[in-house]
Amino acid sequence: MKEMFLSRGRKFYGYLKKDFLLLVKRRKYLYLFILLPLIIAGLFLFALNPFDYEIDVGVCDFDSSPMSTQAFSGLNGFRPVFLEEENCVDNLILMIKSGEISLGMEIGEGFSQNLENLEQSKIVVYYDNTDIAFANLISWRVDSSLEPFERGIIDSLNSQLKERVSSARSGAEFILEFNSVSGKLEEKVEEIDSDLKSIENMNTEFLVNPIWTDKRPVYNAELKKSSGIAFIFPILALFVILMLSSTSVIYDKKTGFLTRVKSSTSPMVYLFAKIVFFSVLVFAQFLIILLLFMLYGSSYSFSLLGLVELIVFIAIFDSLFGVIIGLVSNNEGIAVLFSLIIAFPLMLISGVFFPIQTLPDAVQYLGKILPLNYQILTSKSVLLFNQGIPNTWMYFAAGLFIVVWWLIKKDKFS
Amino acid sequence: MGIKEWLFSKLKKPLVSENVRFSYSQQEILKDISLNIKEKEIVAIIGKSGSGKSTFLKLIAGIIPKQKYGKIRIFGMPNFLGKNKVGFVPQDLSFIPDLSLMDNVRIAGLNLGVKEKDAIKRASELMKLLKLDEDMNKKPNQMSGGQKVRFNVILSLLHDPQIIILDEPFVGLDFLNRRLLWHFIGSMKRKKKSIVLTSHLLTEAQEHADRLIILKDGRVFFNGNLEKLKKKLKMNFIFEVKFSKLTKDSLDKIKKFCVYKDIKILDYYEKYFMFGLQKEKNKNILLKLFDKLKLNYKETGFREPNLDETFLKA
Repeated sequence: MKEMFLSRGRKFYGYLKKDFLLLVKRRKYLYLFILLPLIIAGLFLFALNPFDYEIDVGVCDFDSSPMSTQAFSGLNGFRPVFLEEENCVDNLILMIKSGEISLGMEIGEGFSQNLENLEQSKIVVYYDNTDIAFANLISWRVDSSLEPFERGIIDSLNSQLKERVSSARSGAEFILEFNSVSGKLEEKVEEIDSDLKSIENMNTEFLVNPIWTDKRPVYNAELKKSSGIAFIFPILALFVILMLSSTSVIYDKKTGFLTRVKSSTSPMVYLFAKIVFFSVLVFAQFLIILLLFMLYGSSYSFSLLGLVELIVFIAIFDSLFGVIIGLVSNNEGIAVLFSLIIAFPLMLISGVFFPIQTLPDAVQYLGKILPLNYQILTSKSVLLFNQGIPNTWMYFAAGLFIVVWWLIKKDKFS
Repeated sequence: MGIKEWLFSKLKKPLVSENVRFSYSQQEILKDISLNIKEKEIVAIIGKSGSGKSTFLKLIAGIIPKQKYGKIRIFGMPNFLGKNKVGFVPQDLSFIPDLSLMDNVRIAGLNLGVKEKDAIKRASELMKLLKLDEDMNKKPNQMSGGQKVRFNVILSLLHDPQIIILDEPFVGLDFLNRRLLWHFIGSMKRKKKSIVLTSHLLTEAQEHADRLIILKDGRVFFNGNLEKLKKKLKMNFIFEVKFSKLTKDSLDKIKKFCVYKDIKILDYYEKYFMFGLQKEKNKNILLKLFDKLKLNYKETGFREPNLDETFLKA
């Protein structure tokens, strides 16, 4: 009985040891296993959860008063850029649409006058409602930034109130003490009446919220609902195609199909077939997502040519990237880890979950040149605004082709 | 075959390699390999593991992207342009396990540039020749090891290539399957194909191949038939003995004597010895030595060497 337990114990130890040995001996596994949490946790700590960030905000200050200037200069977390008054709002909207600035604010005439009269003032906030994470951030971020300024106004109001109430009270005391002096009595009653009137006329809205921020999306409000597709589609395509194409190359290597390919033709024909195959998969995936969004009530008007271009671009990029992963990985497990290590950080800094505008400058710059963000921007351009796709994608594709070609030359196809 | 193609195939040699050199990770695998394979010829490339046999075949088939130096020509064309004239049978079984035999034939045929219908027709012909009477809807994993190897060969020949390259085709095959494959290779030769193969089964290669090429340390050590090899190696006889007792001192003396008399000890294990002799009289010289050393022995063989034994000498 004891021997049987010991034998089972040895077997158990043997199985454990085998897996540990494989983990250590397969260096790529080990490196990726360590690298993945390092990258994700590092990204989260140093990039995605910033304590201190500044967002560029274009300002149209039609009030041009010291108070309005003060209101924007002291905005916490925003870097104001004051624009010329002529066609200011139009320019502001154009700049947001083109991505030059992330946010716009318009201060109307009488902003400071209203505040001085203890009446509510208004700031119109313009933002890109197709930028999902940023739009969500802005809904509370502007108000919280204005809070110190508003606190100052309320404090000032508080002291004014105290002043006027105490003036009214001293007037009343005077009446009680000197009610025989008729001339002065009339004068004091008028004063008290005026002070009480000003308290009576006080705008209660002003007490709650001295500055009302009117947030206006630069695009049709319906577009926010529809814009999700421009994020979900490229992200899903990246994950799915990276994993499918990399594991498909490994399968072809393992089953000896690649040997047959190489003995009969140039690997480029094989690559071309892979890209076409994954383009079809990307298209099928797109149709499923589109159908769901349309059932939800979203509507789109994109050109078929633009869509084909977009799908081909995404398929070329993702499948070539997957092929590269497949060529440098020894097995499916490593390919999946590799795909995760690429797709996961790209997704985190794509602007879907965390607004790009709040990330550190270096990450923001990186975000602009990273392929997933570029794919998202292109998807927005094609699917939401019915615009063509910029030719930059060709440089991406050419770059990847060069890498694949180099790997083939290095005989990574075996 | 059109007149142009016929003339072309007559004028140009099927396979020529000139001064082919290849290195991998700064290690020179092949050094100046020059060969010429004729039509209707079976050439067996033999050599130790790591001698560069498979690398050479892969270079011919264009699987390894490019040799650093030298030329490989297929019917006068650079090898990468003549891929359609070559049928490469890889050592590892290369088919898609999740697809049926029929689908594998279709895909392999298309990969070789053959229409699906033609590939299936050609596969059925080859299956008859290789006695592979299987249900085409089966999956490869439902076949036996020998059947898989034969199917692997079929998938490489769907385009009816002029040159057939087989990388260790007999590995894991039993005697009957090996005989069948040799017969098949012979039938291909009769169809005017040029066949190049590597094998560790030297005796069988000697029996069926027209020419043997021995690669040693990345060079062609020998190129010809067995008789020529025997002459080159000066080894015409094999003498085998088993001692009843053998001391270390006696062993050392035998070894020294053999070096002195240019007798090759091809193999020894405990009390068993195999000597390679150039002349018959060398046997008597050895027997005299054993008597002098007062060794009790039993003669277990005296005969002409086969290729395996000649290869040991090489």
